[in-house]
Amino acid sequence: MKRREAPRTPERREEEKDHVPEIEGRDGAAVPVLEARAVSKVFGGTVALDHVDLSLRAGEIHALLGENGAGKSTLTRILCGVHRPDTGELRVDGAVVDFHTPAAAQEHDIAILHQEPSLFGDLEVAENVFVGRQPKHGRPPRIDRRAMRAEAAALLAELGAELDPAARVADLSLAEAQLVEMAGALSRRARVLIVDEPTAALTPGEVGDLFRVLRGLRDRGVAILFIGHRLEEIFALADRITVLRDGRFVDSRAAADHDEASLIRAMVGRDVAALHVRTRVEPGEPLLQVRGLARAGVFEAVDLDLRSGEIVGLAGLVGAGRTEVARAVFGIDRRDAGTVELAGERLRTPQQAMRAGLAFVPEDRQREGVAVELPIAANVALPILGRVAFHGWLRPGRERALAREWGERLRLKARDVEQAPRELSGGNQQKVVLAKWLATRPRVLILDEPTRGVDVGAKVEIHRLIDELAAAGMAILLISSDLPEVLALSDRVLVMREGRVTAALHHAEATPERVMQAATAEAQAVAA
Amino acid sequence: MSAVARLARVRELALAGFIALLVIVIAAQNGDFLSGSNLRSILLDITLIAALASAQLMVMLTRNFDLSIGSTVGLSAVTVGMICQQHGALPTPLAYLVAVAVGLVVGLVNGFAIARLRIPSIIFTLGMLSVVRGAVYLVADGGQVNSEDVPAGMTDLATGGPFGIPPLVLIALAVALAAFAFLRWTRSGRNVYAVGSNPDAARLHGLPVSRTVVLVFALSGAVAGLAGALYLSRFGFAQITAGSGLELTVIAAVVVGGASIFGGSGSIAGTLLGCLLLGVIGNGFAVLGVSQYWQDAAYGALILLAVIADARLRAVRRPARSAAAPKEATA
Repeated sequence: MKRREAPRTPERREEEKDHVPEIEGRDGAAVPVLEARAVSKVFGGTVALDHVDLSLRAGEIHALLGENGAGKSTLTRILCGVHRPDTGELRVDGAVVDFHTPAAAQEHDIAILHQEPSLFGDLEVAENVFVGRQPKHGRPPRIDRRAMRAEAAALLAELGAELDPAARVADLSLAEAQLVEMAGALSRRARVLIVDEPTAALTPGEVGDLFRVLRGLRDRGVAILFIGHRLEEIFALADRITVLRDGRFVDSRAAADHDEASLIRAMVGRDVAALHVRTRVEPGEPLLQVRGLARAGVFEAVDLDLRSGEIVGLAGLVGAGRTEVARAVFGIDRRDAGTVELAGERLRTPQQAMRAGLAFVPEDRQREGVAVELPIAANVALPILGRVAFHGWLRPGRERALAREWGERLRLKARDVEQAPRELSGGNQQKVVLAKWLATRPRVLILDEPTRGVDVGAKVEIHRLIDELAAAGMAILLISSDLPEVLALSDRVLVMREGRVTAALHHAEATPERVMQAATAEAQAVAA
Repeated sequence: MSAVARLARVRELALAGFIALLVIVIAAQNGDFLSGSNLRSILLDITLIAALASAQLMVMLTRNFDLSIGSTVGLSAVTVGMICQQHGALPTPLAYLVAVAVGLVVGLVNGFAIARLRIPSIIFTLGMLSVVRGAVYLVADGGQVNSEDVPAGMTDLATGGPFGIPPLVLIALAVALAAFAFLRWTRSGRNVYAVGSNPDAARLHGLPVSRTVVLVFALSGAVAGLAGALYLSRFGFAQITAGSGLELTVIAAVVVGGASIFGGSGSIAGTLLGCLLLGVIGNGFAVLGVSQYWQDAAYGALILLAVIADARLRAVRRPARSAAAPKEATA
């Protein structure tokens, strides 16, 4: 693996060579304001966090980095009292604490700035700042609106924001709403501020303002935990960087000790070879052809070609627009421009798409994939009722035979085909969804996160199935946030970032580093 | 003041203007409409509705509904009446206290079930509507409360009073004023708005979400109990059907008064104007000799108008946070 140098000074590179990772931070002796020690959290059967450490010091901006699903959000929620860790402990100023509610975390001066501001749109700005703690006066004591507005205005001024404290929050922009949340944190004299991907929906100017405010807070001694994706932002802002991967702690060191390449390696460095390797076949005739597909504000200029027997991976971060592209290709979502053709036939509606041989296995199987209360047999027969029925009358025998046939091919583990998917594991539910769409005998299959939340065994089986289907001539578009999965299975990888295709890589040239770079860094848009 | 806040304020003014216009039109047709006795009759007609609507507003601010209030009014009226029938007339203050206590019990059952068991309020209180009505049948035991059972002290409240305003009306006004002060000047009152505006954010801010929901249902029940006593004072008797259907009129008044059915927004002033509008229409149509069916149609049209206005107002807001659409009616 070749290290790619970020634009850094020669002195810094010099330092890197013999630098000992400085786990103790700038002033090694200081006790961390907030510390997580060996924190673990399991949801259902999924290990979200596995003995993770994190320590935040006063007056530092500490970036928390990791791929989707690395455990950043879980750790954040534990730190602000939404979840409780299964094992491990939290410490504030060195003393063990137990946050059983968000209120308990607030009592320890921990505030969080949510990705999507968590405010009360119907209430005015001042009230959002002081909700639950409104100043009172008089006898009998009642809320002092005037004082509340004056204090809110003062706090907002400290943040350099000119906002009317009497304005309704529903009328504010996203950036303004974030400032209101931050004013709330200030008013609580928060010593720890957790900022969860705040820049996702901000303009560059607003991002600059936000960073100025964050640096100001840091210089006043606030410990800031910044969760983000964009590497250039991390380098511009962070003093220290902690990286998580697969729910585990990777490392924690001064930002100066990292460059872009070393960070990406820390985030993705998994044993890619351990995964299922594909039997590659020579792609056949072109099947799906997407040209200039666009939806205003969501994605633009997406071109896509899928040939028989080919698997194309669609990689990118959550929110890059991958699922939206898939939905537009299938015809569920509106398209503003562009065409979709399957073997020369123009597709506009999902009905046309299904008739032409396109199948779409959605991301959220609980909501969009299976009817969890209906028997497996009914689920499998759902898209092809016309073929199962006889002059409009369902024939349960044929439903069951069909479900049994596909259940065997997919090694579905269920009592019988009358069982409801609600009682099945995630992996087996996913097999029901797959069976349902495979029963339509598609020529092109779109899979959106086919292995999210399934156990390793089921994952290997699904990979094997995808490989078999491609070998038998099916064209597959594989959307996945699981980078090793995409790299192992795909013949070509398209990378999306903020609604654009930023890289199109042949499987030989698709390394985790190149994909992550295209998914996170500013890059030239390329034609697919 | 922001644009939407101004619009909301204008909305209350618009409502007041519409009422004034309606009064002028009706009075022009029939001068008796503005006579002292007719105005007093309008006030008496909306007394019950106004007290109940003030409490229902609080429930609706938290994204909930209380459909059981009509039955609770009946239960409280019949319970007080039957006690007087069998044990002799209660002193008026004690009669009112018993009425409030009966309603409070129903309200607490509603509140705890909805907040703790997380049952959607519209379904739970729909069930309670029938359960409580059943209790009225049991309490009445085949009989009813006749005029001679109701203490004179109670019925006196419907007549006389300062400036010809009956004490009954003043009681309802006191309820509305108390609700106004609570919602405006106390933290618990502001929490009512916050919980309805964004329940998830309320939880993240550490606000007592469940306690707030229990509180508004307890208040709604207590006020419904009080309204049962007001019912006895006003009408001087109570059948087992007393109060049935009131819940729908009350919700109509709150909605017409500009409160959002999605919670988080609404005012006592608007709610009282909503009650007044329904009262003026009901009375005015009677004075003009218009059929009862037209009155129902007018109520219906007003509700639709109010809900459409609410939806349009919400659509004006930016999508970022107005997307706090109704998820569930529970706490």
